[in-house]
Amino acid sequence: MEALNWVKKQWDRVTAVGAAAAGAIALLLGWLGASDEVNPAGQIPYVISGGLAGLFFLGLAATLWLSADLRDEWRKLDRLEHQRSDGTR
Amino acid sequence: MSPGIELGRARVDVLWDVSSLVATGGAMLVGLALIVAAWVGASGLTVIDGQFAWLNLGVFGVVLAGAAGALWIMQGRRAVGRRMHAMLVVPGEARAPIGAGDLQAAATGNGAFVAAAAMTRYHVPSCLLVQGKSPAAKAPESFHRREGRRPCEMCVAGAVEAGQ
Repeated sequence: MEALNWVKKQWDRVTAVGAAAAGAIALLLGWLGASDEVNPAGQIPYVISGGLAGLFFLGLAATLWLSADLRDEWRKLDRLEHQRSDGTR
Repeated sequence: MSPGIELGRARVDVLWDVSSLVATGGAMLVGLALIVAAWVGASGLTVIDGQFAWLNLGVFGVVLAGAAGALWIMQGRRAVGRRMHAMLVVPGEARAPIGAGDLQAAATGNGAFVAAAAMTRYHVPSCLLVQGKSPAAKAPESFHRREGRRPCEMCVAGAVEAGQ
């Protein structure tokens, strides 16, 4: 239950890790598929589905992770602002 | 939700608003759709010449999604930076603005100006250049002139121009 709560709170980081794993797997599968294919015309679909999709998911992971960091900073600023307003009353 | 901070006309309430969320999510989805379309299109061809157009489409999808993600992060960083700037008091910016009384006094020439003993210029009391220093008591402009001081170009000259 505690783990589930943590996942709910850190959904963006959990999704980022999932996207990074998906990107790494896509790159690996693309590389394996393309290396087994002799015909260049048969390799291009692997480049797209493995290489480009892998890059997409890695980019998505980076965006989500950095977004999570920014949300943390924003929440910290919320706390500071509330502390300051409490202290000046 | 934070109560929000006034920054001039801008108001920093949220890290990202709904429109930027929709724009970024939409661009990401379009990027992914282009990659999928490129994959499907390239898979149906057996000659490499025709596949390059699909490959280019896929690259465009990646670039589109990457640009959307980068803009999203930059927008967030800007919002955090603006909010931090509004919350943290920078010493040089904590000064009071030149008051209307200062303006009037400087414009009429009857006002009291301040300067420390070693200063070569006299200032209106709210001038940035005397904040945090311990200037002598206020004195009329004629006194400072006799002491060989010039008017501060930042506050006195500007105040006189503004008062005219």
